[in-house]
This record gives sequence, C-alpha cells and structure tokens, in this order.
Amino acid sequence: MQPQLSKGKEELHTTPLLEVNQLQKYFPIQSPFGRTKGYVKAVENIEFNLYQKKTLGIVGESGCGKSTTGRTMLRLTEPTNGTAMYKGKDIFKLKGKELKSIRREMQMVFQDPHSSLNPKKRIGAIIEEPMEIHRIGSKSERMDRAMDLLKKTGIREDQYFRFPHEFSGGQRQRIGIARALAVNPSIIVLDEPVSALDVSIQSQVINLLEEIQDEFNLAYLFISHDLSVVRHIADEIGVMYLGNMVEITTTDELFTNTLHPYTKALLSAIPIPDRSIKKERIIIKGDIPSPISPPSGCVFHTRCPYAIEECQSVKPELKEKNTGHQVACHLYH
Amino acid sequence: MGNQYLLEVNELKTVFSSESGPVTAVDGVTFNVKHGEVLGLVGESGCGKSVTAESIMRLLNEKHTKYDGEINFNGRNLLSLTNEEMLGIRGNKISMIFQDAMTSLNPVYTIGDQIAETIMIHQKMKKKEAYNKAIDMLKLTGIPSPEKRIHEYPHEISGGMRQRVMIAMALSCKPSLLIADEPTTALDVTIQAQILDVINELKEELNMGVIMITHDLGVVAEVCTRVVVMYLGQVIEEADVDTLFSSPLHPYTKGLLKSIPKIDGDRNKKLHTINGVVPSLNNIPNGCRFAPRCTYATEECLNEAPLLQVIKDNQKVRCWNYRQLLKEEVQNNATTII
Repeated sequence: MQPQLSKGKEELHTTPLLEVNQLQKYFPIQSPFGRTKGYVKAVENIEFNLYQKKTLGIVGESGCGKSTTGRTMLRLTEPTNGTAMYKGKDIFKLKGKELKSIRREMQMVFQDPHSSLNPKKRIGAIIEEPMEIHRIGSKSERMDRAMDLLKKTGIREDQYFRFPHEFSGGQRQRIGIARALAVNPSIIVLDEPVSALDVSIQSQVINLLEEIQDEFNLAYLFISHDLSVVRHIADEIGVMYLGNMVEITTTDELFTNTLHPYTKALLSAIPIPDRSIKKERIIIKGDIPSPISPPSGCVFHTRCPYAIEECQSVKPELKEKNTGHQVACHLYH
Repeated sequence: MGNQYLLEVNELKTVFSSESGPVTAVDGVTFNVKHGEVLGLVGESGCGKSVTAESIMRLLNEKHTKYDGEINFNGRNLLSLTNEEMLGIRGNKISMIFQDAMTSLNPVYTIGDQIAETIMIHQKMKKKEAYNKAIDMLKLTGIPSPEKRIHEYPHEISGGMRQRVMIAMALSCKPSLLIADEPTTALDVTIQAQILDVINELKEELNMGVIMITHDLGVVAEVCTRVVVMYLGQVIEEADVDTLFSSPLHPYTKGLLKSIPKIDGDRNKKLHTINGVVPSLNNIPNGCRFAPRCTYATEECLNEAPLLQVIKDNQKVRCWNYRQLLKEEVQNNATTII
C-alpha cells in the first residue's frame, strides 16, 4: 500500500477540549419490589480526549457501551463514576444553569431520523427550538438562522414549513444535523448517524458532516459499528468491548499496526466490497458475554484465540505501547 | 434446457392496490437460479428486492396483490398453483430466512417445537424422530449442546443463535432453494462472519440454490457467485460477481460501488455521491428510471426507457450509454497497465 498523507498524521498534542477519565456507568437491575438485584455494567472504565476540529470514532459491537458513553457526555444518562473536564469544569458535577449552558455547547445527532424529530412540528420550528430554549436572538433572527442552516445542510428554504414525514430518511438526518448546529455548539455527539441510511444517501451525509466540521470548528464524537465509515471520517479511533476501551490510537496507526486481538478479528470480519482483495478471516467463536456478569480478568479472554493463563485472572490496563497507541492486552505489556 | 435452472423468474410483475391507485413494486423482473449457486439480489430500500422474494414464496396478501409473468420451479409455474399446492412447497422445497430472527420465531414455543413442527408437517415423521432430526439440524448450523438448546425459548438465546435456529428450521426439509432476506443485517460483524460461513458450507453440502437478498455489497462480494442489481422495481444489471465488481456497466452500480467508504481508500478524498434520492413508486420517471440521478444521462435517456440487453456472456445491462462506461473501463485498465 502507498504511504498515506492524511489527517490522522497531524500532531494531536494540543490541549484537549474534552477530557474524560474513569467513566463508569452501571444500570441497576431491580426486582418487582424495587430491591436491586445486580447491575448491568454498561461502561466499566473509559478514558479519552476530544480535540478541537477533530473526530474521535468509537467502534464496537452492540452492547459494548458505546452509545451509553455518548449519552453520558450530555448527561442524558447519569454516569455512575468518573470525570469529564470541559473548559475547566467537570460536566458530571454541574447543576441547573451551568448544566444548561454546557448543553448549549454540546449537541447530539441520533441514529433513527424517523423517531428523533417531533412529527407534530414543522421543521423550521424543530430547528428553532434549541435557540428558543437557550434564548438566542429574536424571533426573526432565529428564523433567519434556521433558513440559513437548512440551506447549509442541503434542504431547500421553501421547505421551512413542511413536516418531518414529508422528507426521506437522508433529508431527515440533515434536519437533525441542522438542529444540532442551531446553537453553535463546539462538540457534537453523533450516535450511528448514517447506519439507518442507504449507501447512496450515506455518502452524501458523511460528506456534509465533513464540510460543516471545517466550517463550524466542530469536534465530533462519532459512534458507529461500521469500521469503514469510521475510518473515513475519524482522526482517532477507540475500540470498545463489553464496556472497556481495548485499543485507542490514530486511525492510520490502528489500521496499519493493529495490536489488540479483538480489533484484529473485527477488522478481518468486515466484508470488503472488492473481489481483488483476498484476506484471511479470523473468526472468533461464540457471542459477547452478558454485561451483567462480565468475565474475570480480561473481558475478551473467553473468545480470544491468543488467551494465556494470566488473561483469566488479571485485568489488563490500557497502556501506551507505541507513542500515541494505547492497548489493553497482556500480550504487549 | 428445462433442467438447467432450478428457478426461472420470467417477466415477473407484482402490483399492489392502494388508495392512490395501483403501485407496481416489481416491474418485469427476469432472472434464473442454478443448482449450487448463490444469486445476490441487491438494491437500496424500496427497489423491490424483498417483494420479488415474497412473490416467489407467494407470501403477499393476494386480496391486494396482482401477479403477472411466470415463476417456474421444477417445471411448474408457482403463480398458477392453488394455496393448498403452495403449502407443499413453502418450507419444504423452497425455504426462507428473514432479517429479524426475533420477530420471525414464535416466542411461546420452544426452539425444538418450532423446528420439529416443520419436519412433522412436511416429512410425515413421528414426534420423537422429528426432535432427533431437529437436534441434528442445530448441530449442522454449529450450535453448541443442541440437546439442551431445543428446550429453550427464543428469548433465552442471543441474536446470532436465533439466526442459526432460523437457518436450521429453513434447511430441515432439505429444500432445493433457500431465500435469505437480509439474513445478517441485524447482526454484528463478528457474528455476521460466522453466519455467512454457515450458509456457504451448507450450500455446498446440500447443493441447493440460494437467493441472497442484501443491500450490503461487502456481503455480496463474500458469498455470491452471480448478482442481480435492482432499481425501482427493475433489474438494471446482472453479472457474475467478479465482473460486477471489476467492470460494472450501469452508472447506478458504478456509483454505488464508488460511494462506499473503502477500508483501504484515500481518507482525504471526498466520498463519491449519487445525486438526489430514489423516486417514489407513485411517481416513476419517464424514460430510464435512473436518468434523473444519472451523470451520463442524455436526451434519449429522459424520453425512452432502455431494455435489459445482453452485453457479453453473463453480463446484462439496462442502459443506453453502457458503451461509454465500457470505453472508460478500457482506458482505466490501460493506464494501470502502463
């Protein structure tokens, strides 16, 4: 392969915009009488940094805790433990007015464009609502901005008074993006933003996301299960498995120098739409264990083809192997 | 000639009646399936790929559906059979697996009951024999300790396991044709790889024909031998899998292949896009159905609909300008050789 000059190779060592440490989220399981029977350990111990104008991709299979991680950033679910430093403040400790003002700077785009827009509101009103909540501008100013955002996201201005059901999935996702941009945030959490879209529409939305990132100076937390999409858009990628970050590094490094056995299996399992590329498939056996009682030691050891005795008892820490390449695996430490 | 193909779909037309008039979801689809081959049926949502499959199985509500054309299977036209005659074919000679295994399995019966039911109806076996057969089938699809599993309910097992149960059920009567409608779309990639392997192995073991319906071109490259690409109810290209990926001749196929982010592509390049969206079936464009979104479109394309024509062995395309695409292909290849 040719050496690639790409966005991932730029220096990432500026001050992070968002610094997340020891994030943990347990959901209690309650018996019919309200007694707590146990916990779903959705997120165990996650840390990452998000930089201005950069995209951090989080990948993993269903149930690995990637969506929960995204939702806790906006306090849509309350974390059990951990800190998230943004502009010198810990987001997880904020209350009332301060929390509201932080939410203005962080917005979210959801997976399902059919259920994330209010069907009873006109799309103009949908985009203006966040501005109303945060008391930005006068009514006419808000309308101008909504028109402007519609145009930027590729929707005709004369569709301002239409309802969500009059649009296709791809267009609705554009409206969702326009709504997220309305309050001029600095971080957008994108939870599987293109998974529900057809291939020809998916590429349109990805291109749009890249354009507005430059224009609005946005940092993206891009959550997806599709590694080829994440590779295209992300500067850094974190791989999650059963609530743990198993590997995190720049995109190019992850693909050229894959370390963790789970990442390797994940990469080899992607069907490639090109017949000229022949690859060896590593098929990992079995299913993801339940997050209610995750395996002892390394959470991946039950499916890992390279597991050694140590893996069953000692939990590997996420540590730097090469510069800027962290991996949680006993094979490397 | 008659025995060469397992299934011959000839000018199939499926029309639904709706409040706003008849809607033609499948409009003159023609293709064949041979023994032991995996035919991919590809296209975006609304292109009619699932309706084609459901027409073959005659699963649609026939009060509101009109068929036209022929579906020849074993020398019989499935569209002219009575419902009773279809019962002997459905699940016996032709089986289907669906996308969502959770909603396709009955939640109040155990897995064993559901697999054995199919076997008892079609193979006239006793209950005990049928259960033993069910265990064998589960073993075949790679489910560990099937003797215990047959007593479990669908909610007790994972998504990947459920899809294996569906496959076991579909294959329990040794069908000669299997229709898989997006069998791995709801699954994670590592589980998807497992399931695709199972389908591939069993196809060889049982020498059956498979119709694989999917929107994922990666899955197509991995398991299919021949591919039919659909757009808005019509077949727009048919080719063997290597030809389709190396030299697609329809602008839509070409556009689709280019708009997927490649795992080894240039990340700084913008993704290729196809302009616009798929039109509604109530509002089908005149002339070529893809023309309004096509970069190659000429005056002719907007006015006159092209026919599906044979270009070379095993490649058919529905486009006026395929020669231009062919020329570009030749030029591209020439530059890579130099």
